[in-house]
Amino acid sequence: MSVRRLILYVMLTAGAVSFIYPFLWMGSISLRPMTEFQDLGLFSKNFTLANYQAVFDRIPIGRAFMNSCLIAGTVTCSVIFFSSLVGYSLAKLKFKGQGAIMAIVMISMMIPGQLTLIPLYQLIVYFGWADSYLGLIVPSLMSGMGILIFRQTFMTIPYELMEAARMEGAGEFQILRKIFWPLAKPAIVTIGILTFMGSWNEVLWPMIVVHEKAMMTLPQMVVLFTKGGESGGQFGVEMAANMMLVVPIIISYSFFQKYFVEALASSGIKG
Amino acid sequence: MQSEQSHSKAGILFTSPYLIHLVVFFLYPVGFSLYLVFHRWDLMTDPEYVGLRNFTYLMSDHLFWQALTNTLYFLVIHIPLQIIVALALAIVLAKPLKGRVFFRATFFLPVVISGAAVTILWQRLYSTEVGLINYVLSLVGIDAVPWLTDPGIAMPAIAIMATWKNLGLYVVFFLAGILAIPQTVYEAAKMEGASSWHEFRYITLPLLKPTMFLVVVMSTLGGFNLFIEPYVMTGGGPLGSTMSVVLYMYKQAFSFQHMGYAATLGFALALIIMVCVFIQKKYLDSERYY
Amino acid sequence: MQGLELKNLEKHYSGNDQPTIRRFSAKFEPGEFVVLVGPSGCGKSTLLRMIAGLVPVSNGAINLDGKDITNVESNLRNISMVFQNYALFPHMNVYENLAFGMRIRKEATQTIEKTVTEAAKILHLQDLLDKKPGALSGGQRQRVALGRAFVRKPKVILFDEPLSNLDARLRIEMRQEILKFHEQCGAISIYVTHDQHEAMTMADRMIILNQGVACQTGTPEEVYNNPVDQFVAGFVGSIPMNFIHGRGILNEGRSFFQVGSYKIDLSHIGKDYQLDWSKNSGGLTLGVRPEDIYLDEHYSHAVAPSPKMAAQVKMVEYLGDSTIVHLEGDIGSFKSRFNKDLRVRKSQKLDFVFDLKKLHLFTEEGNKLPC
Ligand SMILES: Nc1ncnc2c1ncn2[C@@H]1O[C@H](COP(=O)(O)OP(=O)(O)OP(=O)(O)O)[C@@H](O)[C@H]1O
Ligand SMILES: [Mg+2]
Repeated sequence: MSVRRLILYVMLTAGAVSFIYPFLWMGSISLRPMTEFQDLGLFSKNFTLANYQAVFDRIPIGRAFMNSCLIAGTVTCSVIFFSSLVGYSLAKLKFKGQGAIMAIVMISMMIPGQLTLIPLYQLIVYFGWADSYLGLIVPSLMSGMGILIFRQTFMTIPYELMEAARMEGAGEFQILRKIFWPLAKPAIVTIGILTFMGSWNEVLWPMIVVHEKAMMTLPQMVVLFTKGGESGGQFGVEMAANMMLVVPIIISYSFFQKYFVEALASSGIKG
Repeated sequence: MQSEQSHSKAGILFTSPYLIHLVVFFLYPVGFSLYLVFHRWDLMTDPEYVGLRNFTYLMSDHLFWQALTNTLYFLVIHIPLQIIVALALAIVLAKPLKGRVFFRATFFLPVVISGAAVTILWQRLYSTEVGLINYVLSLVGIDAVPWLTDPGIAMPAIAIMATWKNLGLYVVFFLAGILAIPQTVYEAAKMEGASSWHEFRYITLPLLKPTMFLVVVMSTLGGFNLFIEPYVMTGGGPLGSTMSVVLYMYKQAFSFQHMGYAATLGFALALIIMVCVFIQKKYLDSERYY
Repeated sequence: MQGLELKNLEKHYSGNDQPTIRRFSAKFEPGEFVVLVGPSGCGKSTLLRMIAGLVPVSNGAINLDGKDITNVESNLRNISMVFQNYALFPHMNVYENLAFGMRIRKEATQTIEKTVTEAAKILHLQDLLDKKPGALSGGQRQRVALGRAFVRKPKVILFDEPLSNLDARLRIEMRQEILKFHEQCGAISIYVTHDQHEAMTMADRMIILNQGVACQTGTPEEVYNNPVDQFVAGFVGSIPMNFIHGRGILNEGRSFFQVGSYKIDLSHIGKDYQLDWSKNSGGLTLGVRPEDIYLDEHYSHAVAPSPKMAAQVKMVEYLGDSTIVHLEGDIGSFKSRFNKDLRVRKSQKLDFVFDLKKLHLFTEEGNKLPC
């Protein structure tokens, strides 16, 4: 029995190493001079920030970072706000057309995004939003999945709480703000994480609508940097750029690991 | 009062921003894609009606069929690999082991990281001469594998990377599925003399069917969404062996300005995805018992 | 006119074929404690919600102190409600729960503080003001719910089964607290409950509701002793009234109730029924409360004993303060309630008598015949 257990642990540990080591190696390479790019170990006497310096010298990566923060932040706030409004209407109000709205939400989630990609791009061009924050942000302001998660959460909140509040003169928006939002914090965290991550990690859409460096998002810029030759094929510099893409997420993940796992696990409902 | 009236007022007020957004950024594009499918358009001049020409071209466009075949090849490797490894890990992690949480968190790490970042990293790991993977293989006496430069190996290499990236999520799904099965079912089976294999074969596996379905569907959607991986690693090569449909569509639209044809590709892909998911739903979806 | 007046209230939920409340009229005096009872689904909550303004009225009118409030917003009605599950806001502490309405109305902080402090004092909540509802016991939550009703200084307080989530002992304690609270508020209280004891002990007046119709209104004594129909008779009382189904017959100009070979001369009940029993097939139901059935040897308790009847003991429920005996006789099965000192065994055969002065007679349609 304990031999079996030992074998299990050895295998699990080997697995874990294969998941962590690449990241550690990436970090290590990003801190080492170019000459050591063939070294597959983690340590060196020659750690240096030169690669990071090179990244900052060659591309406006700080700007890209700010762009990504701004875009993902705006999209996340908007998705939480508007999805909760719609989720509340679908879960707790009764009005004509409610069933139709629910059906539309479901349909909009069932249709693959590839269908609308090209027409959406043309729409953005038509609005004159190419190479602008509007083009990056506006199409993602709403989310069907956010609506479904809020609807599900809100359905579990008893009607009596709303009625008690209504009897005190609270309007629908006050009920949402003072009762439903505080009670739905876990759902807000889930949707917040999913939306922020989705927006932060997205590359295809930015690659379609943005070509100006100043408007690029972080992943887009890092891809362009490594792909487009500005890195000069230098491992260390590429990895330094990549680190800047990965580290913020790893830091948030290590603090809020539980929430990340729960949030992504609940994304399974959209399947 | 008149709560029904105030309900309608609030309902309309609360849902109208969403509906307006939906009309502009979903319904209109869907409609416009239907229009584009019948037109040739380079963004500069006015669209020109071409009837079914986009479709007939699509049917005979071997690059499209190659991209589609590539995607299927990807799925055929990715899905079974994903399920076997994730299920095995989930079964191990369902046991009361010390450090469960740590292992789960570790396997989950790549899930939260951007696909672009993972791809950039793996491109280096796959490097034939100086890559970490070939180095580890050399330790057990395997010759250097030309991961991204051999047309027969490049797609499997991408599938392995995708498995590595998503594994943690599917482990969590399977783990949730396993932990939802009541312990008493296993106890009852034990009293009938069932072995561990029997338990797995006749209890765990059948009861995990809904999770299986979820994993298959999500992997399929992921496979059809493949873009940044071939874009960064291979540019679709070697010899078009990793060209994905989305990457092909991107090239048609933005390298060749074939907007009508790109829209047709998107339309066809969306249709294929919906048919695939529908078939999977028909044959794989089952009741949830717990 | 002071007080609350409901005029021909009707409620028809869209989607249901039958109206939930039909032509409901009632008047409530200030200071009155009225208990609303009725079987599950008869529309009690619907009625309260209409009064509260949470559910629109389909027809009819609601007047409060002479003002028509049928279409007035819920929060402007001067009416509070205490919900079954208390409906406390779980994310706010007791203070914030009590202050919620005043905050919505944007009242001054000092006013809020004064009012909350006063309510907390009356309901002994001073030490709990910082706690969240989750950290309170059932009784404490109940008191917070009362407090929330109190701070509105309402003219009417509606209670929808407020004690049903509490255990038996606490429920009895809270009854007294609610009555005391009712007196302090001086408002009209309308109280829905499933609990017979609660209804009988708390009510100034009871309203019995069946399928959206008020069957009877009256003091607990009136309703218990003089039910207007078979439904009320069967519904009120913690051990339901026995119903014995038989026939009315006319024999030599006198009316009898007959089941099998057992006969009761109805002229003893007090009235001579000159009814033609043959008309409506003669079906007649005799109603008798378990405590109005006596063992033959104890018949002296009965003012006017009926003829003897034999029955066999099927089951004995010993309750401590009394004993319920399930019996099976020629007239069918029935239950009787005896003094705790009486010892009977299962299968024992005994003779019983009814107290003729306490019998009720119902026609086949369930209407009561005058006694
Ligand atoms: N919002 C609604 N829409 C449609 N029908 C409703 C609605 N609310 C209640 N009903 C129906 O009206 C009837 C009365 O319901 P109500 O809740 O008033 O009963 P109740 O007397 O309070 O029952 P209980 O004792 O179980 O609480 C029920 O048949 C119920 O199905
Ligand atoms: Mg009710």
